[in-house]
Amino acid sequence: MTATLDAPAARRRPRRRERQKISVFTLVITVLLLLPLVVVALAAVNPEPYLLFPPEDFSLHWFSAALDYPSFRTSLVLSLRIALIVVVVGLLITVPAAVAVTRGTGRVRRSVQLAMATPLVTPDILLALGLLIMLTQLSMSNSLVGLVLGHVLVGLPIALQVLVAGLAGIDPNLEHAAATLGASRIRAFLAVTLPNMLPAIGSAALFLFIFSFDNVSISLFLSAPGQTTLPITLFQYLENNADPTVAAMSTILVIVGVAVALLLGRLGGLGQLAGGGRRRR
Amino acid sequence: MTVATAARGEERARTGWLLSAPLLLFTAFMFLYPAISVIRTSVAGREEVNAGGFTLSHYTDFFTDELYLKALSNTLLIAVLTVLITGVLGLVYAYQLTMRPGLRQLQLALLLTPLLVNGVVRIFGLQLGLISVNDLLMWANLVDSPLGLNYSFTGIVIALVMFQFPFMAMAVYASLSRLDTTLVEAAQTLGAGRMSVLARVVFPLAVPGLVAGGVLTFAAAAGTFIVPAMMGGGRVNTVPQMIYTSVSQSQLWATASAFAVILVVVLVVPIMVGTHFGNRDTAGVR
Repeated sequence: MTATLDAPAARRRPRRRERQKISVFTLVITVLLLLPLVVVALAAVNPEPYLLFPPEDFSLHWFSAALDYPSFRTSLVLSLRIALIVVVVGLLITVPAAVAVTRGTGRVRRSVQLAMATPLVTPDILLALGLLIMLTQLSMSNSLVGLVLGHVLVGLPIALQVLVAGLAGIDPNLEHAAATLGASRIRAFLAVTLPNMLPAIGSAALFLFIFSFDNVSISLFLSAPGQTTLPITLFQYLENNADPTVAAMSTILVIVGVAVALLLGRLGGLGQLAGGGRRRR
Repeated sequence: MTVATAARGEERARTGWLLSAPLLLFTAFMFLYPAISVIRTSVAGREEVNAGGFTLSHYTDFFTDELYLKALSNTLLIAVLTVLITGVLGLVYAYQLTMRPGLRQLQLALLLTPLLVNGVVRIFGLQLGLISVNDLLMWANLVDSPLGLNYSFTGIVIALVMFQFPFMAMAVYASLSRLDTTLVEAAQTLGAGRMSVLARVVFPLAVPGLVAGGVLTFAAAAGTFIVPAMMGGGRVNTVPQMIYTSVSQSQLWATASAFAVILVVVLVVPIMVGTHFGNRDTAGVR
């Protein structure tokens, strides 16, 4: 298999050194996909109190207006709080499971894969409605528990996938060597494997954070008066009016998303998005 | 196998189960409880959360009401159109990127970046952008009246294509990684036309990616609430919107649950067919 694959690759390699052509089509698509984000940012820096594109002047005062707007601020704080809890809970669940998948028996691996397939194939709307019914039955519909549980479930598959990919790159013999030299299994894991896992854990944490912070489908059903997350607040605001204040708050979310993308790029986790992380919006 | 290694294997299995237990229990609970709740509520006698009784009237109501059936056909039509458009665009994109891989890493990173930005924000940006497109076209005298890209059926499909394109493109691109570019050049040297190369060499390789991306796109497009809610302007009714309004505005728990079950069943059939054929196609290649 490898031999047959290598042959054409070797023949092609000299050509690769030539300057590679750039496709106009893919560039245009890339720009079109990024354009909505740029438009939002440009609409936010226009000093006039109405949406104007392209802007005629430059001002940042709508950003302070957005952060001073009470419902934006309270829901931003709530969204951040939930996202941080989701990161902690999600990592507590996925890190041990990732170790079990890479180091455990085949049966464990298959069970985990099956468990991860279920939230991926279940439409969010069923999940959200089911959670809402469950919380109402348990008289917990006004607590944050539902939002946290729902967001954790949504982030689990990609977090686990990132962690498993990270662990697969670590040689288990290192841990065995430490164990042979007298370290206990837990000590060997903590001293040898865990430090090497840190980039993967960082990527998993970022995915859990942003999937919770951005979530619309689950939050929409589980948001109650006084516990509305930022995306839902923006949605409700936009139903009535579109002004530079909401454009500024949206721009802040664009910046958060791009920052997470850059961090993931550095940690090497961005590519995992395409592999199995489903669109969760 | 000695007794010692057997014991070690058993211990390894036990540790594995122990470590994966939180995840397995969490997903089992979080999947089964809501699913069972929705199914139970969908056949409840009254429109309440803990109502007892049994009736299938919420299901029969759906299939006898023209408004509901219209919403279902809207939902399916939107999903099919989105799959077709993202499929064609994704195929061309993946093919172009394979044949002309300049700036490949940067382009792939930029393709994935929008996926990390909030959906509401992206739709808002699209709405503003489409308004500008309209203005531009009218200013250039290319159209006399606004095109109706926003707040319409077309707008919903445009937004969904924007959302799903990266997933489709990446899935097809992964399939085409097995494409030998010299093969395409050879075919062209031998006089094969562009279309015939695409149809005979590129397309067959792309099928597994198209199926995987298509299944993902179909489910996402049919299950979304936020896109028709924001882009449809209240003019295009879909099943997810009916589920949401039934619960949030009218507290019709049983009706909403029945709609959710119907949506899932309608979605699962094409997804299972797609995955079945997708697996069969990839099985031959591997």
